[in-house]
Amino acid sequence: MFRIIFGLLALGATCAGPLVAQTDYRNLDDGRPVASEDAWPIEYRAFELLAASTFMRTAGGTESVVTPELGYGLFRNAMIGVKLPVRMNDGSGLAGPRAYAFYNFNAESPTLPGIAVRADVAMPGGRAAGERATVAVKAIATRSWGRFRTHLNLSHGFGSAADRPAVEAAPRWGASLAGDLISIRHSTLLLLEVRTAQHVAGSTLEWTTAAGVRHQLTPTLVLDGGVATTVGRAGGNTTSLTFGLSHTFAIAALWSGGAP
Amino acid sequence: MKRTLMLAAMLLAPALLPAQDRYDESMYYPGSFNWQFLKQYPDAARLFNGFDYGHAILYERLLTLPRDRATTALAGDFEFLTRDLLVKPPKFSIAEEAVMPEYARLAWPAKQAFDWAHLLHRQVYDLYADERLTPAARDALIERVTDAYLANSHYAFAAVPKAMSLMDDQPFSQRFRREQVRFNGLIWSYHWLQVGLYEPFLAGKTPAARREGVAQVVAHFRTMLADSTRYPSVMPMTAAVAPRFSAAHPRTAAIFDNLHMMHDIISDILASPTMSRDQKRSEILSQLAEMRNPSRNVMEWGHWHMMGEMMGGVGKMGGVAVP
Repeated sequence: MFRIIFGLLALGATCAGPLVAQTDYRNLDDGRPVASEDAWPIEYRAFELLAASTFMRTAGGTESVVTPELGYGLFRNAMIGVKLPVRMNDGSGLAGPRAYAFYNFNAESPTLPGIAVRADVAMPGGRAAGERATVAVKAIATRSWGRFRTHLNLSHGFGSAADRPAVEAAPRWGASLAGDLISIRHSTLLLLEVRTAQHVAGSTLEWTTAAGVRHQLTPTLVLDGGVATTVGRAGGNTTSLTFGLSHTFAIAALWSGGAP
Repeated sequence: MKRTLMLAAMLLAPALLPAQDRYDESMYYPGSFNWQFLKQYPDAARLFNGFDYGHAILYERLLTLPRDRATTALAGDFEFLTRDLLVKPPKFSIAEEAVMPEYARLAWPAKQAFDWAHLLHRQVYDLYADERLTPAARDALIERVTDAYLANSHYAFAAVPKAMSLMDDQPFSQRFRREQVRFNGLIWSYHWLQVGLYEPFLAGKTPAARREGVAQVVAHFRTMLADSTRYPSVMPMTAAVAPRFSAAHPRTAAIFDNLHMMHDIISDILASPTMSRDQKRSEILSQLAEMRNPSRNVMEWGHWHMMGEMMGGVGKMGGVAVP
């Protein structure tokens, strides 16, 4: 497993040259560093390699998860990706490979926000994975107000709770509202979020407040970090920290005409 | 039931959004040359981030404010740009839609067309700044990135020189340059540097000479910046300001002239006091289609090479970048 993770990281490092980027700090990815994402996919034909770590303190102890991810702009306005979340403490192991597809319908207009949909599949495989594949769908809307933007995410997870992975499982129902504020001169984004989720039918809602920051380190590298507190969770209230790096690149061999 | 409604809403969404602009962000042509200009010439490269801000705030002001308030706001923006932002420009590109949210929502395809052409600008700087490349390899790559640019046909400006009448002789033409003389001069000084910076890379015979040449061109730009009486009084044309580059890569040079003409055309449309927002959007998209069309309203290449003399001399454009 760790070979796969480091292999992915090495792939990104070796393909480091070419890039769109520079304003990727404003392109929100789910969980990086807050759960909400914006309605914009990565650029057509761009790859994005992400490595995120989350540390969670619960009433019963601590839990940490490392999640390497690779996304690709497959078509205009559409991206696909894979994630490999790994639980690092008790019961450590792969929490089931994940695959997702993301599609954006429109740029913002005077009357409509940017709108996108996303579908995720969490597959069995690994000690922390679920018993069966589960599917989640999400609707995303982004509206900007100058340097401030808001993002509304609504999600629904299919399948029984018993089939879901032990970590980073999609809730049965989830909703989040996030706002971000850009510092243009410093290539930095500040984020605040409120979200709620219900994991099992009939259970109480859990509520989370989160804050985070994204900063462009180089034209191709973004650093992010965040903190969140959750109340109403079955296992007790939690506090979590997350940080990560994302790196955008392209592979010239995939271009028409091949590498220069 | 809830699941069915949610899935139905997601599936129906595309049908409900037929007339919307598409987001359409694309990666530019990859290669290890990318980012060499920022790495080797950070002081020059960062200026373009400030230019992006200048273009963005200009369009937002013209679109959202009546003339008198736009004039006042642009006077403040001019001071900010010339005394602050261009003195210490941002390290990385700016998110223009954060500076011009109303304009971006009104004319997203035009914003995308500018972004796409600005990426080509940067890639050509990157190729010239990459001393690992032989001149032949560099020139071949400039043609290749130009091909990659043109392949994105939804947003690529024509690779032939378009008629100057498109900029100067339409019902809305020349309003901005007459009403906002100083800010227009600042924009034209940007355009002078954007094309002029290619010249020292072609004129310099050694890496040291090229570096010195870039420094001199940037210094000339800063001299202009400090004294608005030295701003170009007519739009800088690439063939006149950067004759070596224009001879080596005429398609690319023509794209940049068309880009710069489109900047002026949109400024004029946005400055129009008689058009509604819907009319402005419609006119911008119509003009964008025209500037992408390589078969209508084009100029003879011979005329294009003589534009310096035909428009009153290259001195009015800011001068030849490297005499």
